[in-house]
Amino acid sequence: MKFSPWWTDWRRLALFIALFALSACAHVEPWERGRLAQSRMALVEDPLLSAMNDHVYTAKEAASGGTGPAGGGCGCN
Amino acid sequence: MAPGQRAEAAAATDSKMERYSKAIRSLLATSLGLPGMQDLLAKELPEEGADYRYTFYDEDPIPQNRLAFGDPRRYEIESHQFRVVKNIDDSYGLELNFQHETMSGSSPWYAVPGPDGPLQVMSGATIRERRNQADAGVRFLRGDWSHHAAVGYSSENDYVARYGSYSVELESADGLRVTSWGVSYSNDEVTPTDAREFGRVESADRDALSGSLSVTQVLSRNTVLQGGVSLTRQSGFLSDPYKLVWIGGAVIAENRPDERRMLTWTARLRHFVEGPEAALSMDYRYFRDDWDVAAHTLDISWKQPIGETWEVIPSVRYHAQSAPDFYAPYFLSQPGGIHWSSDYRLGTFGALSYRLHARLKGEKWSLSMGAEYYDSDESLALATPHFDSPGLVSFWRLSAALRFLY
Repeated sequence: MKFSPWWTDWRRLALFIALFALSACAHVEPWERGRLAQSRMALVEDPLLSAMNDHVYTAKEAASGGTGPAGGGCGCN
Repeated sequence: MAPGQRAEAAAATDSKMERYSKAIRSLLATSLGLPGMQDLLAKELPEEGADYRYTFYDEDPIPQNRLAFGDPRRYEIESHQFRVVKNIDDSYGLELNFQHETMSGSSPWYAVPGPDGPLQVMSGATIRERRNQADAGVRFLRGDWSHHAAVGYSSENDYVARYGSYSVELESADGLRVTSWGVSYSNDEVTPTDAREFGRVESADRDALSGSLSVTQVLSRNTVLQGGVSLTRQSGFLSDPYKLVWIGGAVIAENRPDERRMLTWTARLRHFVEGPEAALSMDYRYFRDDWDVAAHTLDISWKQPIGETWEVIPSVRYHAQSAPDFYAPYFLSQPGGIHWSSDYRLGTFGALSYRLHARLKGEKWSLSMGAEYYDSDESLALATPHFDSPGLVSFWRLSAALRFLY
């Protein structure tokens, strides 16, 4: 497979933009956001668990990234 | 709107506001209420507190019918993680993280042809290592913008990594969207043990530069979606200095390309389920790179509160990847290209992971315990595997964690 940068990955880019263009129509009043503020709705509720998950899976699989700024590597074998 | 109507509307709003707890109203007062973005919010610093997590990681021994020779016992890792968050004032906050790991066991070395497929050769001697990692971050707020900068250092006897990152988040005027940009850089140095004895490279460097963009959007009062893309370029010595390759009866060091460009697309959904008052979490990642690796990863969890203080979280993760052209468990003759690797982690396989966590929450503390079983196999792959990879791993992970809020 020949690698091409993400801006030439038109289908995914179009889906990405369309999704957020449509969702921009959503309107949720401030007093309707109580459930969204619960900790269990967090994108990253437990930073240490999230960091450990990234560390373990990155050491055992060929894919990595997509969960925030990357840290340094390790000599994991 | 007439003044009287405005007063009635305001009174109605106040009435609705009264239905919510003090904590929620506090969030509304800042017009936020965006979920779980203590590390992303553009107008609020994260909660102050301290965390500790202990993890025991234990790989299953390699099955005898997949082993050529060597020690079948694989890695055990004990890990201690610490995290402290302290806010200096309303605009500045500090984060400190520290991790200490001890590792022991043997590691897959290379594979050889066997009567019923490839057989794994394991390192004979038990490896014992320690790793320490520390990083520090500062977050500061400026209007609708939030900035975060961090530096870190990781050290083990044969590997040192120095890294840094900077990210900025912008919250929209209606408080329903956060856009985030980030860059990170890492410089790693590899100094393999017994380099001269085994003909390994004595010292080598690798670098990684990464950029990311994400948009987090509130879709409804129960649903939030985040979409993101990231690009990473690695360069330098990207081989594993301990991995070998069997080529026509000779055993030589693996040789990967010295550059790798990686792309990820991610989607993360959080949905509040009204009946059981639970949260459904779905994370998906598509990965591909210029080594011809493509991968899909889906992680689904269900966070179910039980009473006022308990929470149970079952989750499942599926990962499937395809192999680069230069991967094979062994080569009967000299490969056509100039790169080769038999590292099972580059093979075509799929992996399923089952996890269960339980959490007990107090007003200012929480205690959680968790277990995971991870199994990888060629039969779980989405693509058709051309080879068996006898080194594929399965492991248990057990953890316990404590959190205190100031």
